[in-house]
Amino acid sequence: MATREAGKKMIMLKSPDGMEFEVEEAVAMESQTIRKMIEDDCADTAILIPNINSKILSRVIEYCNKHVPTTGATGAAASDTVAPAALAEDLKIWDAEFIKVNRATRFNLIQAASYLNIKGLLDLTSQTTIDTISDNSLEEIRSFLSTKNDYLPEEEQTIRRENQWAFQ
Amino acid sequence: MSPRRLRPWSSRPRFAAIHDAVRRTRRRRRHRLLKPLTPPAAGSGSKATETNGATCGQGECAPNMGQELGLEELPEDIVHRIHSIMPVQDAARAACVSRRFLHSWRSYSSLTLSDRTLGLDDTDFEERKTHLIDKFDKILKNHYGNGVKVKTLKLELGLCSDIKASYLDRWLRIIKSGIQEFSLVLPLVMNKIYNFPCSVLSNEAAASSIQSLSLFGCAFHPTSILGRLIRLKSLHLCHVHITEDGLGHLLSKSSALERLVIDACSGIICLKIPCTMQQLKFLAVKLCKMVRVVEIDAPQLGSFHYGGTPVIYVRNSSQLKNVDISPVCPSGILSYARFSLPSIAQNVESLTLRGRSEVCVGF
Repeated sequence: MATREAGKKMIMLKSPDGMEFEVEEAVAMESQTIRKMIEDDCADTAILIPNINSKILSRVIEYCNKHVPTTGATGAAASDTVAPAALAEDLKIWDAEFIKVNRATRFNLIQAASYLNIKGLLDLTSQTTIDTISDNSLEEIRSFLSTKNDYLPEEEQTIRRENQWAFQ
Repeated sequence: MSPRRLRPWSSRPRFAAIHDAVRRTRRRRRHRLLKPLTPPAAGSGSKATETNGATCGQGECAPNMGQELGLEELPEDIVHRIHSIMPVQDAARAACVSRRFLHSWRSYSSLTLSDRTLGLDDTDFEERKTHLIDKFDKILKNHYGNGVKVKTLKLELGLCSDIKASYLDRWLRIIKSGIQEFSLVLPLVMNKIYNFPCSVLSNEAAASSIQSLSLFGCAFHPTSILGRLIRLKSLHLCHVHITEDGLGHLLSKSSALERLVIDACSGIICLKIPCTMQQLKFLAVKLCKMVRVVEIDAPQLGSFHYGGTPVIYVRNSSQLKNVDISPVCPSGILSYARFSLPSIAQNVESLTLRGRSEVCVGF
């Protein structure tokens, strides 16, 4: 759990399973949903995030903490002396490690990123999902996505025929 | 409605009853703001986590965060978003996975078609050309037949020197209301063979929705039948044969244009940028060998890049801050600048002149 730092406004985020996370306002505002609440003065000092459990919320906060602009914020990994390109590369490597999670966690992160409106996290999780299914057979894709074939046989034949070019 | 259960942290001394009471009074407003961008899909397992004695409505509480969460549990808009950023070939394959993806494929609105997106970049050159045209044809025919509204259409056919005009004309039928970005890349030789049909943008609905138009390797002869391109902000013509009249018609319908690039185009001797171009901020004219005179009367123009040494008249240069001239024959660039560019010098803050052995930057 974060601790209060001098001069930085803190926000308490609560998950529905009862965990509390104290984060800097700037970190919380990486979420456009929370940003709007704060800017519209609709946020208490504590904000309930009803859709996201503590395990996922802690990962989301970890992501935001890493990605918050360094000026006036956490200063987590960057300094003024580090070139933007090096910072971007560092973030890319960090993202690649961050997203090494199982499918269920990744889908939960997608949902959380969508709900909290965090574009960078939504792009990362979506692209990773796409990368995992690219160039795989339909059965493999269904397995990766944990989804079922709900076509009738004749329907599947029709759609397969229409998109035959994509399998050549 | 979900069964009630006590919130685990409700017993913590830190969150005393008074705090919860205050929070409850604000719950309605807060939950309205915290409502998900889209509610979870039906059957998505909104196994609501109860909070402090009050029940959550659907869409406000936690979906199943269990280990078995699969695609079925993700909301429709998230599935659609993931699908929409897949390369077109992967997206078409995914359409065969389940009805959800098929539904999404029927509104897959961003078509970027090239040898890369169609998985042909590693194939033999001749084979690639044949397959490319064949795949383009099937995709566009299906999308057209299924009435898919296309927002972005990028057709990269730089390899296909034997592409038939009838194919291109047929594919372009998909440009309708809702098109925002269109880009066509043809082999250079096609600018003597293929005439991009003005009729594609004569339809007011299509004309009024397009925001970015980029043509490479064709002829384009706009006439008065061209619709009003009221949202067109970016126009890029490269290796396009277009006449002064044609460009005049095009610009007269493009009053919202902010960025204009005319690159290696033939057919223009006197390039006129009229005062109706009230929004134009960036103009680049490169390697247009026939151009002898450039007349600019666009009041908001801030940057002007030119490759060549024409006579340049700028009638209204109050906003023109950045000028970059790269002559084709770079000798004598300084004397050229001294005698040919006085009209642009009024408020220019940055003037770059590029010669073979002399690069001058003035402020």
